[in-house]
Amino acid sequence: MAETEKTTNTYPYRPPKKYPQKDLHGRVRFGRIFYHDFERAQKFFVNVFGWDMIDAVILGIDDYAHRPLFVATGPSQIGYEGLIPGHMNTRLYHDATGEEKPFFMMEVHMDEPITNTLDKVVAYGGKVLGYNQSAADDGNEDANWFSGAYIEDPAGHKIYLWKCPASRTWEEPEAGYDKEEA
Amino acid sequence: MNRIYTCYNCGFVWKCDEEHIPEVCPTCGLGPEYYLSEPGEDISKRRIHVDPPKPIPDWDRYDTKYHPPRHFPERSRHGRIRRFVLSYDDAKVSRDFYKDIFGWDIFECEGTDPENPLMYCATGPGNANWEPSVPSFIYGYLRAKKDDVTGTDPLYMIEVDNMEETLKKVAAFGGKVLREPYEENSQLWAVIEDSEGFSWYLWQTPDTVTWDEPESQTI
Repeated sequence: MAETEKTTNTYPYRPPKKYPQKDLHGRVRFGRIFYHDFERAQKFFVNVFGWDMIDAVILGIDDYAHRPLFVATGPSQIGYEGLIPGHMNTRLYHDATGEEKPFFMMEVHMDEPITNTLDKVVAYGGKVLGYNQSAADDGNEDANWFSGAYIEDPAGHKIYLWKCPASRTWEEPEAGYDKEEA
Repeated sequence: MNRIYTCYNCGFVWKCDEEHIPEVCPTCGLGPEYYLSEPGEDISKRRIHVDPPKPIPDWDRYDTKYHPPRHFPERSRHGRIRRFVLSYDDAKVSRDFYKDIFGWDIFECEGTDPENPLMYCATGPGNANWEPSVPSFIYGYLRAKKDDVTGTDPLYMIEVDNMEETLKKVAAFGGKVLREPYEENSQLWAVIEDSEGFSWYLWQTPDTVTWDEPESQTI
């Protein structure tokens, strides 16, 4: 343990707080970054950082030249979720408007409506930019993997809040939490 | 009624209501003819098992059709997105926002400006060295907007093996250096722009890394 403690961070003389709930609320889980020219971007990220990427078929591919992709930035599971603690993977999208900036996805509580979190976002000085379309359309936040909302934090940073549906089995490596010691 | 689906192309397993089955496998994108399914809630008790595919050593790295993620080399954290860096206008407002709404554990870094502190944030379970203990999420920083000398407000920090070598590649593949390497807290940093015009912090792996840390492992 002593070997581990001498690495990487300037940390306060205590460990981080425990997260004992079966809940990923607040975790910064996936990046969203953008390209203008896919082949150019791919050459850059593959050669400079060694990233690995696949077509994100589940997100819908209408125009292959401008397709979205899942990107592994480090050791990853077969579904391109991270496999080792300490790093995050990302989605890579075409910047269709020319105005995009990188942002990230955070999870919110699975067991309550997203609006509970959105009300707090506004109360604490943030903004709600909009619901994800599928959540607004069918009113069922647990119907698929596309329920979420775009917000801005008080400093103006765009963030996507994602509500995971009941598909989570809690066997996934990324679903770990601080379990009480026996 | 929930069912557990197993894709026998890529081995991906997920649970969902039978009325809301995705049109394609969420991972490899193949259609329902590639799923096997069974009723149930507990993934560990499923009867169908498909061994997950292993990395394909000679895979064309520009081919983006589904393939298992590549093997990342041992004793290297090169290329991993390791931290977010969110800028703020008002330290207290941003700190309260993330602490109270999202449950982050936030501390002010030692020796930082009390009026505009650099703050480090745990966003989920972690180890004693303030690194995440669970895969697929990251910790990061809150910092004052005025502290960004590049004026580009980079959002992410990527770890690299060797700063000098990485910056040569950045230039060779269409990026540029926005801030030359600089030292803070005995560690080496730089800011770059990628080929698409977006900025990133780079952080050279510190000499103090032992390679025994959970975050230093590979598959």
